[in-house]
Amino acid sequence: MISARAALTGSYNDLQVVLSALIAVAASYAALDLAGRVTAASGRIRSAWLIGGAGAMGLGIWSMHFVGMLAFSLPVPVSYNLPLVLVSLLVGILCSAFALYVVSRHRLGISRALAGSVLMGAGIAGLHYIGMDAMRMSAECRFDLRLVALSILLAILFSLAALLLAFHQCEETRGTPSRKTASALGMGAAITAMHYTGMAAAHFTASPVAPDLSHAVSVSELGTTGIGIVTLIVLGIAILTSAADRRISALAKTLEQRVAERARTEQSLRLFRMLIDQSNDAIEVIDPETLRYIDVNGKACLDLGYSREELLSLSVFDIDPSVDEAKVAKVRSELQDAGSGIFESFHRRKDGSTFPVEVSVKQVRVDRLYFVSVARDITERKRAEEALRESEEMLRLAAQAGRMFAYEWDAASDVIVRSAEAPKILGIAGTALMTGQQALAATYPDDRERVIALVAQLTREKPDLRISYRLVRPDGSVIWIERNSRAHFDEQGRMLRVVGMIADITETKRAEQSLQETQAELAHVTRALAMGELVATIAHEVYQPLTAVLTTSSFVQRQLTSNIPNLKALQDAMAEIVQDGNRIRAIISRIRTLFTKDAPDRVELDMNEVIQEVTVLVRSEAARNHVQFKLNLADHLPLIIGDRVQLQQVLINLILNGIAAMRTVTDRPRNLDISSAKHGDGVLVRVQDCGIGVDPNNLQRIFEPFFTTKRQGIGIGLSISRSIIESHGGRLWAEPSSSGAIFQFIVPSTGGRGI
Amino acid sequence: MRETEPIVFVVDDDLSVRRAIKLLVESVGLRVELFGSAQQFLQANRPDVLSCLVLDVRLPGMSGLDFQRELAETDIPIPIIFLTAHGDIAMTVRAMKAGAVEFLTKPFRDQDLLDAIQVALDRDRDRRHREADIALLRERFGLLTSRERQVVARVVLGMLNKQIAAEIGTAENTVKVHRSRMMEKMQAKSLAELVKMVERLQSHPTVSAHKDDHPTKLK
Repeated sequence: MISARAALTGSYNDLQVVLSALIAVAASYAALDLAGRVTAASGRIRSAWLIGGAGAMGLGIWSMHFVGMLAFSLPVPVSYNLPLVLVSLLVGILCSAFALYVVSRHRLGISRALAGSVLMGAGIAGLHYIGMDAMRMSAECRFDLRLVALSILLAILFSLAALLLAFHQCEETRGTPSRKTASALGMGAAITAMHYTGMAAAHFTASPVAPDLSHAVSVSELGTTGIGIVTLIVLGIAILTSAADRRISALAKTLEQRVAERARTEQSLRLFRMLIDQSNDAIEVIDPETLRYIDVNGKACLDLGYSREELLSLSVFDIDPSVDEAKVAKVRSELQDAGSGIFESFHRRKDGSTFPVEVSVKQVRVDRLYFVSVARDITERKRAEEALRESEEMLRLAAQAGRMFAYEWDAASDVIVRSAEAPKILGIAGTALMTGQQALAATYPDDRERVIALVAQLTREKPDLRISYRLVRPDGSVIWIERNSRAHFDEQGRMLRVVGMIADITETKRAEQSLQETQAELAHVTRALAMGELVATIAHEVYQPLTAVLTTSSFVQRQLTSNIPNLKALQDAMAEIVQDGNRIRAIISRIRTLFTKDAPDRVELDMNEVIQEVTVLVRSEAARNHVQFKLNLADHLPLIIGDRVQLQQVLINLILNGIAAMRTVTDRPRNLDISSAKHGDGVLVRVQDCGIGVDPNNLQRIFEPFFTTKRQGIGIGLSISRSIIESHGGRLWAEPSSSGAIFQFIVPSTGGRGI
Repeated sequence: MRETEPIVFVVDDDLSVRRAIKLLVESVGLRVELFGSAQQFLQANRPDVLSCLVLDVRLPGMSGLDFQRELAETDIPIPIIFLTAHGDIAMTVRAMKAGAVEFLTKPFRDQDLLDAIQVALDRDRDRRHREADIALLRERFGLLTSRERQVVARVVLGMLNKQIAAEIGTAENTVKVHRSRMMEKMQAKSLAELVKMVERLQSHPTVSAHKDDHPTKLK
């Protein structure tokens, strides 16, 4: 025993120092390793790992401390108070548990990290100083406060570093072992450094006071070594367990992932299959060698009428009747060159019927080579194409036959775009550009004003135009066209464009003209025929005054040869002769107008005058048939525009018909009522006889050409009459009356001008 | 005044023609009366003098030919000269058959008309003489008793007095008395003359005063 108050200098057993450092590093490594396990685990397993880890690590730190303490030998015997030793162990375990808990969290904020490191540093420091306090020896222990503070600071700082490191370690689940080792080394160094700094802060002085040795135990060298070894073993087991668990859990995880992945793959495959089956196109996977079907989708089965199993036993040759070796070779080479090919073909259903398809083939390599064919049923498309082609063809034929073309004029550019028939009709080159100006210039000079005026009247509300006019072709020939067009306007009512059809109606016009000529000819013939019937009448008309002239002349001759001529009588006689001569002239000139074949001459006419002139002409015919005219002519009739001769012809026709109809009438006066009346702004003329009447069944037919009820008639009088009245814009019709028939016609005051 | 002068009636609907004919016919000293239609002619108060009718075939209301027929039916035996501007053969034949004097086509030669008028007036004159003659005979015939008429009818048939007496149931002498009184009344100088007279009476049956005593009904 040495004397009290003497400073005691400790010495270190180097081997045991190394052991302590080793334990610190091992404990650190175990801690880091276990932290990973805690993070990876969950629930009760996590708690178990936390407790186990904390126990191993706390034991490690504690063990490092005591091995370190035992490595320090004082000249006085040292024993330890067991309860305090156990308390220090508990502090170590708690502080480790806390540290593990913190780092196993998924988030680590700065404040939490600081708080954690302070707590942990305090724990380590607490463990150290409680352990120091457990020393029972004949010496006093004094601490250098600065070094104590430094040791605590170090503990806190190293704890912070260790926590951050450990946390990062946890995040990166596959932290490299070397890095983990480096961390463990750092942490071990920190614990060791803290321990030995704390030891350096302690100064021992000999004390005469005998230590309280109750509950004190002495630790032999062998015991320390035992503690160290046991600790290392515990730590080792912990690390090994951790490693095994890691391995197992990693395996389990991989397995789980694979299962999930597999499930996903299967799901997506099912979806894909469904997608393929739901496709609107038949999709087939074909063996490039045998051209057999390897797989087909639902649509393929549906289109072809086979079940999937049936199709898979067939090849392209069974389905496509048009496929032969040559075609296969062609498609193969196409696939070789471009990797894909599209062609149209036919597919044959199970029932033998065929349908058109568009097949798109691709060459696909998955382990080996496949052909993937996508066949689309194009029946509808073909039908639509056919229908379109037919309608286009028909339109083209119609355009050709009807000699017409479509055009569009654009106001901004003044350019006219026209369809293919246009050049032939217009006599221009197929490529020639045409403008609105040129089109107007080509319009026949007499028609130009009219066309311009009508186009100028077009509005958004009335955009349609239908007009016939003439065009002068470049070679000077003139064609008649009919134009049907619609103009398009913008919001401000400016004309933007005109779309329309032009039809060449030259032939029609020509036919119309020749028809008109024929009709005029026929009208003339009819007139002549009617005149033939009238010859007796005409002769009578002329012979009457002629008779008067000749007879009076004879009287004059007689007077002149007599001895005493009566001069007064002679004068009167000469006046009579002149008067009658004039009458003859008037009659002949009136007859002449009936025989002329001039083009219609439209003038203003008083219908009553026309009626009176005609009745004079046919008066004798009426007299011969004992027919009395009853004229009932309205005053103040509006003037009409018409052709005098033509209207006279109509009237003569109607009157002669009326007279003829009454030839057999003996039981009543043969009256022919001729009346005129105002009708709207025109004139209505009625010719009513009391003859045999018209069979109601024939009321319409009598106006047909060559329909006649007369034995000698040729049946064109009424048809000509009707066309004359219609050419005046009026109408002519017949009605039965109580006795006989009524023929009447209306001539509007416009006389059909402008029609 | 001129009550006995011959008259030429003209019916034509044409005023000029009427007036021209009037000028012409009057220039040869004949009286002319003009009518525009058949109705006017019929309604007019015409003196019963030597006359003829110049008639246009075509008339309003009634044709000349129908008018001719109507005149004949109503016993107006006026000679007719037809005028027409455009006559045909059928019409001419019909008119002539019905007793027309002439059928002239307008315009006619003045002389043809005047000649026709002359012929017509002559014919009318003849007719008038004949009718006056017959009227006289009829007057004489009217004086005969019924017995005498019975005797006349049988005498002209060449029956002997004895035969007549047997037939009418009387004595031959009585027949002789009737016969001589009858010859006296009829102013017939011979049997032949009497036969002629009776023939004439028979040829104009329309103008009989006493129906029962008509010579045609003597039997």
